[in-house]
Amino acid sequence: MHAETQKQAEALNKRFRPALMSFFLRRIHNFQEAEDLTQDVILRISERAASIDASRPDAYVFQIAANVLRDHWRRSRVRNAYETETLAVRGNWMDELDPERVMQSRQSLATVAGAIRAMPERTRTIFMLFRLEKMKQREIADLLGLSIRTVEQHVMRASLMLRDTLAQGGADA
Amino acid sequence: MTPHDAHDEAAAIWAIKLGDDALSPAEREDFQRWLDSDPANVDRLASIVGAWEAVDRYAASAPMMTLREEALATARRMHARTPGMAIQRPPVWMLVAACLCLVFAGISVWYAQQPTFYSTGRGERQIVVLDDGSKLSLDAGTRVKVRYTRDGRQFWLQEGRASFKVAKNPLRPFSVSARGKLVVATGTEFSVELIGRETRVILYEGHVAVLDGDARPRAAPGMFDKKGSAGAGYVMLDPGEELVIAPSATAAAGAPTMAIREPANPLPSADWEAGQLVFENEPLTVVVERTNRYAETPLRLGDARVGLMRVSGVFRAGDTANLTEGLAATLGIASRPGKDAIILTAPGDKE
Repeated sequence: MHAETQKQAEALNKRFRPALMSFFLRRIHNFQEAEDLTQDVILRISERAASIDASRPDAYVFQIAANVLRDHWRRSRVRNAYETETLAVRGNWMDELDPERVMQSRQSLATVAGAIRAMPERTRTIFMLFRLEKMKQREIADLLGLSIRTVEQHVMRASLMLRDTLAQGGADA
Repeated sequence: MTPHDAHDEAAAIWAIKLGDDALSPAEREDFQRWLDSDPANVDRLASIVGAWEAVDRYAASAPMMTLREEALATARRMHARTPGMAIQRPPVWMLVAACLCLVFAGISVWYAQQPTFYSTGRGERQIVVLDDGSKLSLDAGTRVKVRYTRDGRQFWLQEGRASFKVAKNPLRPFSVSARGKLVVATGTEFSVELIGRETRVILYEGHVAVLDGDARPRAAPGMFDKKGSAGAGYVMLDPGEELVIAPSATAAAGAPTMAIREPANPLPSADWEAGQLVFENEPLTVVVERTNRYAETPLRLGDARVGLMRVSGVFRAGDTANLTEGLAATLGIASRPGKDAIILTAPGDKE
């Protein structure tokens, strides 16, 4: 069972680690602490994977992230009064604090699919393997006979194109 | 499209690294330095990650599925052009033949796609390592048809029980057909068994989807939603779960019943691969069928009633005498030699 949890954690890492890291880094500007909290969240989710609401996994994950962060602040006595109050008063404080993230992730399907379609074929293919088929860069490079650096460049370009389209609110949708 | 500055590009690269492997100590330091160098950097990072989340959110939607299928098809084409990576090329002599004669060209392609059959006789087990590194393990009395093509790995369980350890490759979906059901897998370990009128699937590790109907799915295995809705025409299994598919009680209704059950701990891993037959509250019909895959003299049920009696226990495959003694001691089931078989009868039955 332990090995299974490990595997589960690996898959969750790929999906949620960047988002959790940026979530924590915005509030704690320290890589090591953000990393520890991220691993804490991933461990908690992988232990409870079966009970995650499959239709809204991200809501669940960020709920846990918020709890972990709250505990962290409680433990470290450096919490500042404003943050503590924010936590106490607002249930949906995450949304308030992460407006772009939430705005972007609420873009319509047509906008998102359109942004992906607009990418050059090779860039799109590599991005899809990386983000949706959850392959590592090394695996994609081996599969397609490319260098890791080339794969990285394609994913980078795809990510920036996507971000720009979504940040415009999908002007072309 | 706005040109991207170095800050944006760096943010995207860091997001990619965070989503891939763990950072090396040197990379951690670089990353911290990059974060500290400009307070806006963390926002840049968040904006990349937010864009990814928008994609993840629609991962299972129809338009996104189409995009995913297209991406996989393109990747397959790119993969095929990669030198030294071609899969299942016909042998060189066939290529020569193909050059000599166009008619032969057709034949060589046909030959390369011919299925292979593996089968085991009574009391015999077999392990086959396939050329992609996947492992096929056959219980006694089992017959499996295998067809490997460039873009798929297909198996048909025609009789008995087999377990599969799948080498991960999203470009070559791995599927097992059994009695009109299809089990689709990614990197995983599972077994499929035909027993009585039931089909049983046990998942040891990873994920599989079991589909109604054995047409090859258009979707790649990763595309099945976790805990697929019953109406979606497939069932997802979690490790440790067993899916029992039985024909419906009323023959007319047609629709089979699919029920997931969680076997008692510890997971009854593929015990049969180690020569053990493990039964947990199974009807005697199942016990007899599994035992007979090994028995020189098969067991036969004296009547339908005895077949319904429930049995739990661990027996050595092929040791029929030990089994019949156990059945007599615990359930009072009598055994007597019949013509070409040992007949089992329920206590109180006289013949």
